[in-house]
Amino acid sequence: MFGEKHSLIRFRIIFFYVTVITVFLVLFLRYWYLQTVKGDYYYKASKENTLRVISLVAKRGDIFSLDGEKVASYKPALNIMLDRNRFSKKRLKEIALFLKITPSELKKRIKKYRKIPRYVPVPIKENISYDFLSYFEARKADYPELFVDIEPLRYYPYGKLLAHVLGYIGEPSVKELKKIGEYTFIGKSGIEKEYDDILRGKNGIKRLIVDSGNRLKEEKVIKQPVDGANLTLSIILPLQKLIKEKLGDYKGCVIVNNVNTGEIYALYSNPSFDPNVFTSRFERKKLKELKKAKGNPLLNRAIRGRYSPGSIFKVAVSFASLEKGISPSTSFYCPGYFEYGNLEFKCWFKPGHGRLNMYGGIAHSCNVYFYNLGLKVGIKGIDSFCKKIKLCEKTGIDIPGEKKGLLPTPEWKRMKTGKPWYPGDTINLSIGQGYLLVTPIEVARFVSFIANGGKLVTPHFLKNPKRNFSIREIDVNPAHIKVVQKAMRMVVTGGTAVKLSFLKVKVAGKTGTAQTISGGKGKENNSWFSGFAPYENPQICVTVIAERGGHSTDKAVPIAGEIFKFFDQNRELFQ
Amino acid sequence: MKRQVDWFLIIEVIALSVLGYITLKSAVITVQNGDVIVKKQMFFLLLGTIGALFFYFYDYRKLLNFVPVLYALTLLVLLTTLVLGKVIHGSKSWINLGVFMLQPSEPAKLIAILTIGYIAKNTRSNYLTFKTMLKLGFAVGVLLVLILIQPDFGTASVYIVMLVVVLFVLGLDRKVIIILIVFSILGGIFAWNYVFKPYQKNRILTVINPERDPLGSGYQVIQSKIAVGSGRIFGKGFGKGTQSKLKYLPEPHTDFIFAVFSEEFGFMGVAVVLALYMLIILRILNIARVALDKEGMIMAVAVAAVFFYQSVVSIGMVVGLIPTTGIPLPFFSYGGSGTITYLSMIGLVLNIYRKRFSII
Repeated sequence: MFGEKHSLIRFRIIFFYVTVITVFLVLFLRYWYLQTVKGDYYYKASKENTLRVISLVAKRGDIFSLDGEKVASYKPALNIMLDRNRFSKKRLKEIALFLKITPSELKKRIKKYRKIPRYVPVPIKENISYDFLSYFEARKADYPELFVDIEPLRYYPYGKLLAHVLGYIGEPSVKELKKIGEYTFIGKSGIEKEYDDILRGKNGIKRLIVDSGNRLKEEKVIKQPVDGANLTLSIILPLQKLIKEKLGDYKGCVIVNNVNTGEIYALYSNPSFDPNVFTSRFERKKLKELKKAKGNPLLNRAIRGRYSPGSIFKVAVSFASLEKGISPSTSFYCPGYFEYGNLEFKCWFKPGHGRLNMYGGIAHSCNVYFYNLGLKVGIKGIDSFCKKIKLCEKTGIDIPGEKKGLLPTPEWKRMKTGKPWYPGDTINLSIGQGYLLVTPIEVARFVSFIANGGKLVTPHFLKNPKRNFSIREIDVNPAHIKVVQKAMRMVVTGGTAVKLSFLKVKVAGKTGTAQTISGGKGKENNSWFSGFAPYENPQICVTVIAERGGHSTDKAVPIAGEIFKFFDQNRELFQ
Repeated sequence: MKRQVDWFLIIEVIALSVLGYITLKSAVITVQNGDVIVKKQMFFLLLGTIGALFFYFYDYRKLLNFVPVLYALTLLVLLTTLVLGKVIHGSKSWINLGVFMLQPSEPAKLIAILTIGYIAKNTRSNYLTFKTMLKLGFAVGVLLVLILIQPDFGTASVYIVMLVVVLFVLGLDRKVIIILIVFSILGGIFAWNYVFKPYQKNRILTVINPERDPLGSGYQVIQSKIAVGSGRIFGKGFGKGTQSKLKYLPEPHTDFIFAVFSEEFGFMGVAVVLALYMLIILRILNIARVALDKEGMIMAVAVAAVFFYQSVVSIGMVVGLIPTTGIPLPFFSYGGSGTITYLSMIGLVLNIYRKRFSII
C-alpha cells in the first residue's frame, strides 16, 4: 500500500481523480449540448447537406504589349460544377445524359480530380453556351450535385502571333498543386510560367448554403480573392505582325532586341500554335495533335532551336584573331578553293575572291580567307574567345526552357567520338560548320555585344514591373570592336547584304548560309542574317533564320530589311 | 483472501472494445477495403488479448529486470523507423513488416511506462529527487525526440503528458510546478511564433473559430459537429449515419471514429461510452492507490495518464473542443500497434492489482 502510506502521493492521486471527473463532465456537457439542445438543428443540417464551399477564382493578371495592347486577358466562362460529396456513382448515367456527354467521358473527368479533396467542387463541363445554361437552370432541381459557376477563362486575342512568348496556362500537376496550395490554373510555359507568381493571384473562399432543392439560401464570402498583377512586355505588336507576315510559310524565327538593354521588341517562331487550346481541361486531344504536328509548332525555335550558325560565326573567328594579336590587314589569297594536305575545301564563290584582308573577308564572307585565319588562330584561340563571350551558353532570357548551343572542343570530340581533333575540324569550324551549334537568341546576344561595344545583355521581355536583368561588361579591346563593326558595315555597303544598302537607316550585319544536316544545295540551306542599326549609334539588333530559306540573300536579308525599314519609320515605338 | 482480479475493469474494457468494434464495422462501410480492415482489427484484438494475458501473468517486478534490454531495443526500432520508415500523411512513423504495418511509437508507450517503473524501483527515496527527475526526463525525452523527428506531434504529446503526470504524482515540488507552468506558457508563445507550421496554427485557431478555415481543418470540425449533433438523443442507428457514409467525415475509422459512434448511437450511447472511459481511468487510478510498491503505483498512474489524455483529446476533437490531432481513441480506433499496446497496458495494471499483497 505504497500510495496509501505517503500522504503527498495519495493527495496527488486524488487530485488526478478529481481532474478526470471534471474533464469528463465537461465532455459530457458538450455532447449533451450538441446532441440534445442543438440536436434538431444539426439533424436538419445533416439531412440537407446544405454546406457547400467553393473557391472564388482570382483573376489572372493581364499582359500588355509595349504599345499598350492587351495580349493576354480573360473572358468569363460558365462551367458546370460537380459537388462530389453529394454525388453517387449510381447517378453517373443520368447526369451524363443530362449534360450531354457520354458516361465514360464523365467518369474520366471525375477520375481526373481524385487527388483534389472531395469537398472542393470541380468543373465537369466547361465553357457552356447560354442556351445550355437555360436548359440547365430549368432542370437543376433534379440534380442537387450540380451547379453553375463562373470562371475567368484565359484568353489570348492574338492567338498564334505571340504563343511562343506568352506561353500558356494549364491545370497544375500534383507537385505544383502542393507548391501553390490551391487548385487553380497556372503558367505552364513562356511568360505565363516565368512570371506565374505575379500573374496568378490568390483564390478566395465562398460558403454557400443551399436547400435540398439546390436553391441558394445564403452565401458568405469567407476570404476575398486577390487578383494577379498585370505585366507589360517590351513586345511591339505591329512589328510582331510584320514579322509573322514576312516569314510566311518558312520555318524559322526572328528576334528583334534592344542592343543596350536586352529588351526584346519582337520574337516570333514559325510555325506557331494557338495557346487558347490549352485553357480547356478536357480537350487533351488537340494538345496531343499539336505535339505530333508537322514542323513541331510547340518548339520555340528562338530559344530551343539549335542551328549551325554558318558564316555568321566568321565574325566571332575574326574577333578571336584580333584578340590574339592578328592584324586586320592580314590578307590571304582566295582561288575559289583551299587545299589542306590532300583535302580540298571549297569557297562558296567558285571563281575565287582573289586577295582579301579581314574587312574583305567578312564583307564577301570568303570561306578560304577564314580557313586560313581559323588555322592561324587555332582551335584553342577560337574556343577560348567563344567561352569568354559565352556564345554557346544560356542567355538567361526570361522565358523557361532555353537550350544552349554546342561549342566543340578537342576534349568534347574525344569524349563523344573517341577521335582526336583534326585540323580539318578547325577548318570547318572557322566558317561555322561542323559540330558547332547555336540558338538564335545566343546569336542575337552576340551581335548585340558587338553593337553595344562589349556588353553581354540578358535578353528579356519584362518591362513592368521593373526587374534587374544583368548586363555584363566583357574585357575586350574596344578598338577590335570598332574593326568588327566596320567590317559588318561593309557587308551591307558592298558585301553579301548589299540589298540593305538602299535603306535610309545605316545597317551593319552578317549573313549566313548554313548547310543543314541533310546537306544539299540551294533551298536546302538555312538562311541567316543578324545585324544592327543605326550603325553610328546602334539601337536594335535583328536576327533572322529561315529554315531551308536558301541563300541568305534570298530570304533572311529581305526580311531583316523590312524590319529595319519599320524601325526607321516608327522609331517612336521603340522606347 | 482478498480479490485477485479486478473484474470491473475487465468488464469495462470488454464493453468498450465491443462497442468500438461495432462502430468500426459501420465506419468502414465507405472506406476502401473496409471488410479487410474489420477482419484485421479482430485479429489485432486477439493479439491484444494475448498481450494482456502475458502482462497479467508475468510478475511485473521480474519484468522490470528486462527494462534496459527492452529500452535499447525500442531505441533501435525507433531509429530504424527514421531510416527505413514509410511516409504516411507526411510522417515517417511506420515500418512495413510485410503482413503488418508497425507504428513503433505505440508499443514504445508501454516501454516508456515500464522504464518509468524501472527508474522508480531503483531509487531509494520515496519522493522525487532532482536526480530521479533528470533520469525520468532523459529516459522519456529520448523516445520523445525520436518521435518528434518523424515528425508525429500527436503521439509525441502523449509522452509529454505521461511524463508530466508521473512527475506530478511522484511529488514534484510546488514551486517547480509553478515554474514549469510559466515556462510552458513562454514556450508555447515561442513555439507559436517560431516552431509551429502554418497548418498546425490553423488547427489551433480553428478551435476558437471553425469558420476561419472552412475549406481545411475547419471544414472537418464543422462536419464532425454536424455528425455528432445530428445523432440527437437516440442516434440514427447502426450503419445509418449519413455524415460518415457520405464522406463528409475524414478518417472515419481512425481519428474521427467517435463522430461516427455519436451519430449512430446518439447521446445515450455517448453517455455510456464516456462513463466507461471515466470508470476505466478511475479504476486504474484506484489500482495505483492500492499498489504494493512505488513502481507499481507509478506505472498504473502512467497508464491512467495515457488513457485519460488520448480519450479526452480524441473525443474532444470531434466536437471542436481540442485542435485536430491524429491521436487514436483507445479500443475504438483502427490500428494494430495501438490496439495491442492498450490491451497490454490493461494486462499490466491488472498484474499490479493482483500482486498488491505479495511481498515476494
